[in-house]
Amino acid sequence: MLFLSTRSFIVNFRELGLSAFSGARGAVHSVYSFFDRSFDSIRELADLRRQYDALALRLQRFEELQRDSADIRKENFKLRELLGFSTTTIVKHTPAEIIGKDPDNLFSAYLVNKGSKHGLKKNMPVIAFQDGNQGLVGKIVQVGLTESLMMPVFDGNSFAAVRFDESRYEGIAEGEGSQDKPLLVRYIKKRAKDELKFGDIVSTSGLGGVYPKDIMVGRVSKILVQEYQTSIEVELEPIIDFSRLEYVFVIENAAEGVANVR
Amino acid sequence: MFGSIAWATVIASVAALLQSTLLVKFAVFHAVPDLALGVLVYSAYINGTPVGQTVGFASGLVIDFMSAAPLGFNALLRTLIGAGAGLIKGTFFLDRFVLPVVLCIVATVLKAVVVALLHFLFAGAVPSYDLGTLVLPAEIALNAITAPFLFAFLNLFSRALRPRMDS
Repeated sequence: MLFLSTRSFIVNFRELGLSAFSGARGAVHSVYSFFDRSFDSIRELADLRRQYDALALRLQRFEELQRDSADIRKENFKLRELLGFSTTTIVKHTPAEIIGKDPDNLFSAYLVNKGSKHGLKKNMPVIAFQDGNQGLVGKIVQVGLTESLMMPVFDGNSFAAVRFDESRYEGIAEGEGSQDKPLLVRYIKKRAKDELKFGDIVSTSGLGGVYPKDIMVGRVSKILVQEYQTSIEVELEPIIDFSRLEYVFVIENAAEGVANVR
Repeated sequence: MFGSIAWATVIASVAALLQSTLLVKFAVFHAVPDLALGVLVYSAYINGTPVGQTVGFASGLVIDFMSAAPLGFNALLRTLIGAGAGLIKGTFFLDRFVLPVVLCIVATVLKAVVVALLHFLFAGAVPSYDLGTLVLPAEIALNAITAPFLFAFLNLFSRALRPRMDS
């Protein structure tokens, strides 16, 4: 096992193994999705008919609005140019679908349908959009040819450098091994206890070089102050509801931040 | 012997594949039945320790490739379980209900004990079942419920999985 576990070989056995099973899990997921979507489609047909009539009416209104919008966009572009703003750049991201989970109940990794073939690399951060929020999901821990394993933030081995959006205090957010449990932020300066509030947003700080800056991680749900400790701990409710997670974005782990994506 | 090892490994790998893709959609308290463990227990119980160990190692290695577990974690875990199940080969009559349920419950408990031991030795790399959650009880219950059906299904392939009389 030690022989296989070592990473100093030319061939990485783990990646080779994951690549070997890449297609199989994707195929099973595709078959399941086909039947699942077929049943959904039948149900949705009736809704679509009703929605079609309503949308035809709205389309007429939007056509009128579009003419106005084109003029406004042209004017906006000219004004931006005058003010010297650069055009909005979006961090390179790869959309991926969650197609499975770890076969072992002990581990909480998710399987996504993109791999090295699509440009994914180990340690790339994974984010998702949910209810209008962009939140941190986790990072890529193993890359196969067409599939990759992603470690979610609630995993016991997940650590992320974070900062409280309002008070600007820093800490390390770590998972507690279950998506039902809150994230725990440790190593927060004790003097922060009067400035922290329930519901405060906590985002990545960009320190550590794995996660870019300003990705929302969670909201403060509990503040734990122990007199004998030199720092305080805070429990976070993750921004992302993992039970509803289907699609994610794998982004570059450059330190340039994703503030412009928000 | 090699035929039964190969077939048991293939079936256990397919079971792990289903655990990873289909069964996770029907997880109970975030736990899915460990069908690959059931296949291993069946194969080890009817073939004995050498086959049990080999199937455990091979199927464990396949699961390690599919999982975020450290490489060799499942291989070691399932080698031990395969060896244990093989030791009691043929001691009890393999009926359709009671023994499959008992074997799968004992194997799951043994798995939890070995995992706890490995967690004690390599705390940073190997997680342990959290006794504060229902994952372990749910896994034991699911393995027990699926065991009779799994063993009945595997009996259909008994010619491939059982040892040959002439060998």
